[in-house]
Amino acid sequence: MRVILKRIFNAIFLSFGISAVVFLLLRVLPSVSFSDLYLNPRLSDEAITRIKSSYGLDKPVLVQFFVWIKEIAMGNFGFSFIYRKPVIDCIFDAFLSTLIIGLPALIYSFGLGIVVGVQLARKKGKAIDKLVSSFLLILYSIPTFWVGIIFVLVFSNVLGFFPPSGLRSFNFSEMSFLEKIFDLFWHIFLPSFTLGIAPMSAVARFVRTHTLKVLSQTYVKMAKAKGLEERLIFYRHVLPNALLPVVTLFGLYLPVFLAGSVVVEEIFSIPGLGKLAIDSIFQRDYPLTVGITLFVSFIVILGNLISDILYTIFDPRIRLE
Amino acid sequence: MRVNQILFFLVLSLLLTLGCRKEVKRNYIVIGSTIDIDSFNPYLSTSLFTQDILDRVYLRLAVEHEDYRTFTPLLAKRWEWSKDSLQITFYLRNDVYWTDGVKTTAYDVEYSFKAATSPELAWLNAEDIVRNIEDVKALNETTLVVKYRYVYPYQVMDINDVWIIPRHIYEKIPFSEWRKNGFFDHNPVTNGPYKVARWERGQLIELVKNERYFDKNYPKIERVFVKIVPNESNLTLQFLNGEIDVLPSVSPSVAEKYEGSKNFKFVKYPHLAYEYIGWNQKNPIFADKKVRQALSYGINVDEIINVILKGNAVRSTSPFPSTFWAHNEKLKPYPYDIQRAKKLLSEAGWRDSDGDGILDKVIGGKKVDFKFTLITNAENQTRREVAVAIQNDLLKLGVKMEIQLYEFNTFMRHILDRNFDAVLSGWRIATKPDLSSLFHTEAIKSGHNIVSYSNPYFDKLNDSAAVLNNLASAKKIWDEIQEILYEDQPYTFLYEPVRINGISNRIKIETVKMNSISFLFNLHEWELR
Amino acid sequence: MMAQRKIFLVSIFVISYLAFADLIAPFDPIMSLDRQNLSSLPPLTRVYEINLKDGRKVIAFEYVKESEFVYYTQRFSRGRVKLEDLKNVRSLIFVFGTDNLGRDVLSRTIYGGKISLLIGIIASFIALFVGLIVGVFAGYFGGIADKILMRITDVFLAFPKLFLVLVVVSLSQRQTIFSLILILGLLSWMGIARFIRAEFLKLKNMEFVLALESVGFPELRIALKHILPNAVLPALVNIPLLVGDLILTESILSFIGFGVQPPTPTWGNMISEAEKSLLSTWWLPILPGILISATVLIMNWASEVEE
Repeated sequence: MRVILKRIFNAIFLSFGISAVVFLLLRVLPSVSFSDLYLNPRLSDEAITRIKSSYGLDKPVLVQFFVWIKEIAMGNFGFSFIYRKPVIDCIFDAFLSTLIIGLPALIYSFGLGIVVGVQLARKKGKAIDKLVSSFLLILYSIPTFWVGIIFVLVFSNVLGFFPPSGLRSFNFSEMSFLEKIFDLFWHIFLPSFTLGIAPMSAVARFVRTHTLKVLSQTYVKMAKAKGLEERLIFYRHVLPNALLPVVTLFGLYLPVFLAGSVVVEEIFSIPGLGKLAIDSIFQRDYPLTVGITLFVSFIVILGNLISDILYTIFDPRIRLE
Repeated sequence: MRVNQILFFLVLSLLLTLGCRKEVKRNYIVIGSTIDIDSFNPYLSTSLFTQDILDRVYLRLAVEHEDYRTFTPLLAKRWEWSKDSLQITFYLRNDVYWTDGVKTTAYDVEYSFKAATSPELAWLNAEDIVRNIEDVKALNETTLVVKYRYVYPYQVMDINDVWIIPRHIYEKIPFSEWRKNGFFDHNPVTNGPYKVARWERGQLIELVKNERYFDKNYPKIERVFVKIVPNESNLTLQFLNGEIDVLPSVSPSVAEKYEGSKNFKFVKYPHLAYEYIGWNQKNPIFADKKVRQALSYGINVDEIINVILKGNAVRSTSPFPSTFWAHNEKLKPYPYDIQRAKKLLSEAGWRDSDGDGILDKVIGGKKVDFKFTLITNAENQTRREVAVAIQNDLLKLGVKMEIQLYEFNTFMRHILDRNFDAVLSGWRIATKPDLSSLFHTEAIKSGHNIVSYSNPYFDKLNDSAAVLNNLASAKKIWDEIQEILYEDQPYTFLYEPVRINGISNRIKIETVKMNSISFLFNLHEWELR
Repeated sequence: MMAQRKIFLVSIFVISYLAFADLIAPFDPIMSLDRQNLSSLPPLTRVYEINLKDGRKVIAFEYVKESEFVYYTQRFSRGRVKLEDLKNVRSLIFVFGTDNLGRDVLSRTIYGGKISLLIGIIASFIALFVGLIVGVFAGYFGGIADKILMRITDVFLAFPKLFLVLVVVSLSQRQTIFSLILILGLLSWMGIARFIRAEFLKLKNMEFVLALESVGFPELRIALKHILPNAVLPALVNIPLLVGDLILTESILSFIGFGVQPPTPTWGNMISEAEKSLLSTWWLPILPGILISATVLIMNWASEVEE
């Protein structure tokens, strides 16, 4: 327990350090903030300086840094230029949207991935195994933006099953509770599915390999020699051992689902963390960029920590250092 | 097996219910966009799209028309000029109310002027207004007096640029706080034909009929949605599918492919903008006028327009677009003429002395190859392709050009620092002719003279034309100025893009006016079929 | 052993592709024969190249020989040439169509594959190299060095990648393929470093190492000569996978202008650019898409360890 606390503390410290680096880099970066101002050839430099100073960008870097620390202490995490509200509020709103897409994707990609992987391992060498395995690889190798666009084209444009973008229908507020739930699921189906495809195939292939590894081990052969029923061996002895390493994958993929995917959010018009992050970088909304960095890097490190913890739970031989 | 069967039927019924969702009769229209608006506070908006939307919910004093010279009454019933033309008195309508029931008065305008010119707020378009308008005063609820510092041609235009905002709401927060306050984005109080029903950031904006609007005949379409889909392909798909009724800025290839469809039309009109290549004249290669002319002759712009823009552009010859009144019609675009280009280059001393296919010249005692890098921004697919076409054309002259794409902010930094050889970019022009910020010698240091062009004669003419009150005589000087630029070619003027908007046949096309002021110019007059 | 054989096979294949790519491309991948007439042709379009005796070329969609003239049709115009001027007529076929600028998609894909593979392979080796150094140091020295190096690895893992790229873009004057390769390599060494370190820790306690130590072999020599090869081999097997991943990453970078600069094609920038014109020229991404998938498939096949 103490170790876990220490690691969490470490994670906070590390993500804070990363954001501090980002903060400083942003200030020395030779690029323009408020670039659309410069597009107006009639705007004088003086006016631009005035606008910048109203955001406190004219102060020395060190002063800005302390202002930022103060904002963190106050729980605002700074003030977004483009959204005109505290960074923490922006992140919270976006994180909700990301979760709505990410959680179902997480569940289905791991659920389906494990099932498919195990079945493939059982049918190793047969035509179906080879076919599905290569199919999974192809899924893995198509860029996500193509998967997304093709889904929109097929399922929404041609077949008309799902809405092509957004999280809610226009008349969402007039719906009954059940309809709302249905509407929501109806909207998140395609983006969730798209988001989960690459991880799903990765999980399936990973599980397949590890199941095969376990199957080839001596104790399994022993059990078979002893004459135990094959189903029993498989579900009692092989599966638990084979699924153990999936836990590491879980930690690694957690950020993919929780930190938001730029591509999926852009295609399906979901105001999530990934879109927020990229907008903030491209529009040079410094406080927002730094805030998201803090949040996302914390999630990544937390993901690593969770996979470590889960590992110790499932495999008592290993200890957290 | 039984579980599988149940599962199968479940999926089947799910698909069926999804497939058969009943289409409710649509009495609304949906406008698609890849970007969201910046704010409902007009003084914080920067994008053109935001202005397009805000002009539907806020009323101005008058309606500016496509020629940028005619104004018809809106909030002001009429206006009178003083004898010396230094003062205009506006008489406001008495029946305009804000959406919260408070009357819109001249005091609102007076306050709006204060906001527009406030240094703490630093509004984007404040410069001209601060320079030209001395004072705005409300005499009573319906009478407004505007005093100018001097007489000039754009007096109505300048005061009309001021967005009129509800004083009783905006007064609550001091100007200096506006940029940091999201207060104005919640339930904005407006007075236009539409009011804001909701704004879900990055998702949609819903505009509904404003019951308090003074003209009870409008708007004809009572509900308008703006749907934001950042991905262009997805957005276009939704338009083709009929889910979106109005699609601003369709790409030329899509318009070409789906022209003649029964379900929608494409509306095309010239955009007040032009694309150019800027030759950085600090670079010794481009300091010579002959070289710049040669490069202009050596680029096949007509083919670029035909191939890349599918004919949806007009050749550009000067910094004033061809539809703008100050444009010099006598100028003909530089023809594509390789021989002439080669001749000019050799007159300028560029020869292929080492036979490597690339021209060279001795500059400052060193042999220099004719090699340079063209920068442009990565997000713009059209510019990417135009850059490659130019590269191919110039290679035929023995000029080696490389392409460097930058993400927009980095690109801007390179431009502002004059840190480039040549740049492919575009300007949206202001509606008042003034070229000092682009080509004046003084703008080299602190302005947008990014190519460091300097011609004293140009400076003198420009200074005299910009303040001239008589537009007819000003036009003569502008014509001469454009001839100078045409001769000097500080830019190679490429083309003026034509804007293509898609519009569904659900909307009566004869009621729709789209123009370079706004693609929603008369949204309140649109009617459904 | 099987895996090594497969990697060998794939390497031979890749190297010969790299060597002969320029030769098998039927058209110039950079410059179009005729921009105006060849722009945006769908797959399997046939056009005619009418060669004249004075060396001029005319691209035409159709032509007929009639009495003493050859009449031809182009996209925007018709024309004729005298039969006596005619040298020959060549029929050109664009199997996978042409892009907006009239360049042959097949040739661009073949040529682009060369660039993509080179980028992927060199960048993976950079990643391997950096990962190796970090992993070996951490695994060998342990203690404080291990902790610091692993924290650095964590930082790189958690650092927003796109942001890192943007920083490099803003700092560097010009992007070349080399700076791109470098940044791709620096973005992807972390997994390898962790892997090598773990292998090192595992091997350190293996019997043969303990045996060597007890006999009195110098520690450094054991580490470099006996542990390292055992740790590197499994890492090497992951290289093909990384190559596939990096080819895909380049497509995302080209989106923000950090990819390979035009007019040079890569599979990555071809498919990411094609996304924007999906609704008008749908055929552009097909071939590069298939080839990326095939490459990833082959690379995976190569790195798959048979039991």
